[in-house]
Amino acid sequence: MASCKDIALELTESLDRKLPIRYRLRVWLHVAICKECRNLKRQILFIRAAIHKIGLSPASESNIPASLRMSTQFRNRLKETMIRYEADPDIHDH
Amino acid sequence: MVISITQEEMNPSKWVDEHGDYLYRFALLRLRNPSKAEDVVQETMLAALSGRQSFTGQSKVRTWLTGILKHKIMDQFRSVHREHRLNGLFNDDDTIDDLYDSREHLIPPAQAWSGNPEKAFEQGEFQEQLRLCLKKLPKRQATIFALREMDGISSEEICKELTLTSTNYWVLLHRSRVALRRCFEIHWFGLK
Ligand SMILES: [Zn+2]
Repeated sequence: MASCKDIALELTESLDRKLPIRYRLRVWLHVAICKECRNLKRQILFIRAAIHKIGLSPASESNIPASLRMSTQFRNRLKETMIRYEADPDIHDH
Repeated sequence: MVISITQEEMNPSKWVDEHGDYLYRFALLRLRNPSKAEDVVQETMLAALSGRQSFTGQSKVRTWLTGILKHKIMDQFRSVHREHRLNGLFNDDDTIDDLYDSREHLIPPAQAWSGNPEKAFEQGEFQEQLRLCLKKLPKRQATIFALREMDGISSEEICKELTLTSTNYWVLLHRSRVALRRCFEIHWFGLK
């Protein structure tokens, strides 16, 4: 019987692409009787789904914390840089 | 009619206010370092200014800007990995040995989660937690996790871009997934 560690990389790989039947079977047989690996698999898939559902969907910008927004200083600096760049694109070549 | 973008939308002075926070957040979640995120956002805006003529109007301005940003981020990733390779062959995250005990079980054991975690988190809170969890990962693992789980880039593509062997890649991806879910387990579910 393969151990959790034995099938770990195959388990991860199986979440990304279809493994050859031999390995798929090995993972399947282990996961069928191992609660820990079932939990692990479920949780990896859960995090993936959560990232896509709530983590990366176009946010309503209002509830985004300040730590994830650009600072006012940077915002102003960026605008100034863009204006200067538009006036003279060459300045950034050196 | 192909062109659906108004001149107003293509006005660069609006880009920062309308897309700046989005682009910054996109970069920060992937690069994890505020000043690096600022750098790539600025590079993106300047590249967009230079390349304004090539914008066909077939996509949204935000999509166009994000496309440029993705390239800049990938450049960063490549240089990190190049550095890593030059600095030596052995890294402490090259195997999964230390993740498992002598009976080859994960440490700590993967316990069941309960409750309805999706409900418990506001979108902003979730993104912030994701940022904090990614920050704790070693650089290469964070890069791979972002490319695979956030951007959905194929494993083959990631190996090619970062010049990783497939074994090395699966090890790093596995480590990142185990660590990320553990971080959420502690900070989201309050499990020990
Ligand atoms: Zn197991």
